[in-house]
Amino acid sequence: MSALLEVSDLSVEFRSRAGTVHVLDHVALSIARGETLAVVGESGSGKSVAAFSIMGILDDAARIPNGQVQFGGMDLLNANRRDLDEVRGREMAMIFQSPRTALNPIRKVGHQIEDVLRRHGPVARGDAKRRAIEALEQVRIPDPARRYDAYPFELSGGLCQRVMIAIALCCKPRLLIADEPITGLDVTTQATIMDLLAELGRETGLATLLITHDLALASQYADRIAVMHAGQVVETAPTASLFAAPRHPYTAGLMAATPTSTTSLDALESVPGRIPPLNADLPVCRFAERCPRRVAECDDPGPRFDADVQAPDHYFACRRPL
Amino acid sequence: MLDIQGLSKLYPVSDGESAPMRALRGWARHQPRPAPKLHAVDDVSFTIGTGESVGLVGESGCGKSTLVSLITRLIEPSAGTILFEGKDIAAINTRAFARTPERGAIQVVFQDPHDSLNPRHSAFDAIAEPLRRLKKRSTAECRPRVAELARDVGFPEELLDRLPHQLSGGQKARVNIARALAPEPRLLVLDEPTSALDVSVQAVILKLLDDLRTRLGISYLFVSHDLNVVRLLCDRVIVMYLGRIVETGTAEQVFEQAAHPYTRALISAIPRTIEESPVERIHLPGDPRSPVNPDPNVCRFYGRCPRGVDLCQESEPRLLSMAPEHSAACHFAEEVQESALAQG
Ligand SMILES: Nc1ncnc2c1ncn2[C@@H]1O[C@H](COP(=O)(O)OP(=O)(O)OP(=O)(O)O)[C@@H](O)[C@H]1O
Ligand SMILES: Nc1ncnc2c1ncn2[C@@H]1O[C@H](COP(=O)(O)OP(=O)(O)OP(=O)(O)O)[C@@H](O)[C@H]1O
Ligand SMILES: [Mg+2]
Ligand SMILES: [Mg+2]
Repeated sequence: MSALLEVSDLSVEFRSRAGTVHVLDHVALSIARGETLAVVGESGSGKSVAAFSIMGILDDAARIPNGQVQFGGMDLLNANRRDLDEVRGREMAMIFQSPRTALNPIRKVGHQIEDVLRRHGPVARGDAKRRAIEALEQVRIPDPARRYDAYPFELSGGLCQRVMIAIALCCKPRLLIADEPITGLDVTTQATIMDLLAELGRETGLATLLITHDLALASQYADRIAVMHAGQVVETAPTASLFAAPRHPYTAGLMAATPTSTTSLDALESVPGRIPPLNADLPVCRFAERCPRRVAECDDPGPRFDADVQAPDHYFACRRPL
Repeated sequence: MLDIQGLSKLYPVSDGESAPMRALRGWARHQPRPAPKLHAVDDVSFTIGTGESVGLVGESGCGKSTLVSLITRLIEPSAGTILFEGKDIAAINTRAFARTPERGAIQVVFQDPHDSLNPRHSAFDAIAEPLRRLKKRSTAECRPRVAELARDVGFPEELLDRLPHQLSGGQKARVNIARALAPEPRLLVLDEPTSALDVSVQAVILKLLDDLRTRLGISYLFVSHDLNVVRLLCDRVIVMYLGRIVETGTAEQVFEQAAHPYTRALISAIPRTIEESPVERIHLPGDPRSPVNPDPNVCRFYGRCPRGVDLCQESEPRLLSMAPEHSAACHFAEEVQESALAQG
């Protein structure tokens, strides 16, 4: 299957007063049409920066020393401005980490959707309203015609989140990047939103890049999972094979730290230590300092990425895998 | 230690009619028409025992944070009593409350460790501040107590001079907890204390909270969307829906023998890893009822309840006992529970 989005060998650095910060290091991710890829990892591991690089909205202090981002056959890092603007927002859209701050508090939600529609091409006035209401309907907002006139503060957190998704989806993108789309919502609202995205994937071939802390959520909704640590993808595999046999010690650590319906407090473990500062001279393996399985050869230079012989889609960056 | 009876908080909301218009209309009808009220917390009663940990769960907007603000006396209740160690603190107004001894005895840890610390105050200042303010201690007098608190929560003493932006999320969460523990509270209210943290940091903080409770004998009211976390930390669980308590019981009763359809839907929606046995999700169709002037004769869950029948529109079910400690507010509580048990 050819990928819709293919990120390869992507590195991102930030210039800062403390020197250069190596935030992404040779990151590779790919998503096929209709597929959901979850990116999981600790806070600061580079999940949002990866999403921003794909969307082309990195801040000015960022530099991309190497890498490619291919989307539907187009080379996004070297494309001209016009082509890029056409793709971003229309063919791929993003839901940000904090929905309330991303909506304009003093503009009716219906008008906010129309603004986005107009930005991507001329729309007749009556047509805009009809399409905005359709967009609200598509995300299963009850009574969409009435909600068209609502201001964000009149809507609960769950409804605001759905409006954000309606805005992201109104131009019928092929790729949706969802950065922690449901944190802070209760589990029934979470499930409704995730079901909606899964349904759109099946019906329209929408591909989703789902960024989350929550491994259980990723396991329930993603086809594949990429685990990030300190700016590197340390393991990537189809969801079932990742859970059946995690190969990277960090993945196993995250799993042991996730409370499930049967874990006891004693059985819950945390990953020791923290992500190393990304401005220092970084070791070959950025997890080595925290790793219970570290051996001398972990510090040898050279490539670390490997594939599982039994499961060809399963990659991990470890010299001493589980 | 905490006994809450009939507690309510109603917010007046606008119905699009200006105050003079409303007065005029009221005058024409010879009685003023009251502004509609949003029932954020509606006639809620429960207790928390000494050293007990109670979890509070429910849909976004069901009134959890409002209840927390009422108990910590940040807002005035519309009705009801809050007996704290026998004294009705609901009767004390919020300004006067700040000067009572109970002010230090009830402490709260807020949702986000990142925005609840002052960016210009060091970790030491953050922890010492309640001691200075509530116990009138000087900085020098605070020093040994701050060091002790830092040790209690596992915060490295050499980091006490750091500012929040120089600390990790987990370290900030520890500072927040140490700060809440400083005035030696007997009730600690935690409003989603771990939702902004990573799973690996969360595991450490959960163990810390559990350990503090056994060592210091503090009671907890723990608000969270993560039901797996509630199950790990709480003895008893309260489930709210649209301002009302719809079910309460021991963690085991609520998780294994849920008797309210909303509780069952909530439990069925907990994300499960592939290794856990799958559970059939209960979908809640339809629109939640409005919290503004809710009809006193209709069940608040009517319209989304998979069961809803005519009776549910004619009388609102009251919280009735199912077993010692376990009650639910549903006309069909027994049947719901039976089917829950049948499905395992
Ligand atoms: N503009 C910037 N300048 C310097 N460093 C930055 C900048 N933006 C992000 N970083 C750093 O990049 C790293 C990765 O950040 P990112 O926001 O991608 O993490 P994340 O995985 O999304 O974390 P979270 O789960 O907390 O959202 C962090 O160490 C962060 O401090
Ligand atoms: N100051 C206010 N004025 C009017 N209505 C309010 C006010 N504060 C809260 N509300 C309303 O009261 C209800 C309960 O809100 P509350 O913040 O207690 O919910 P919550 O259960 O904490 O939700 P979440 O899980 O999203 O934090 C909501 O309908 C909210 O819109
Ligand atoms: Mg992020
Ligand atoms: Mg709240």
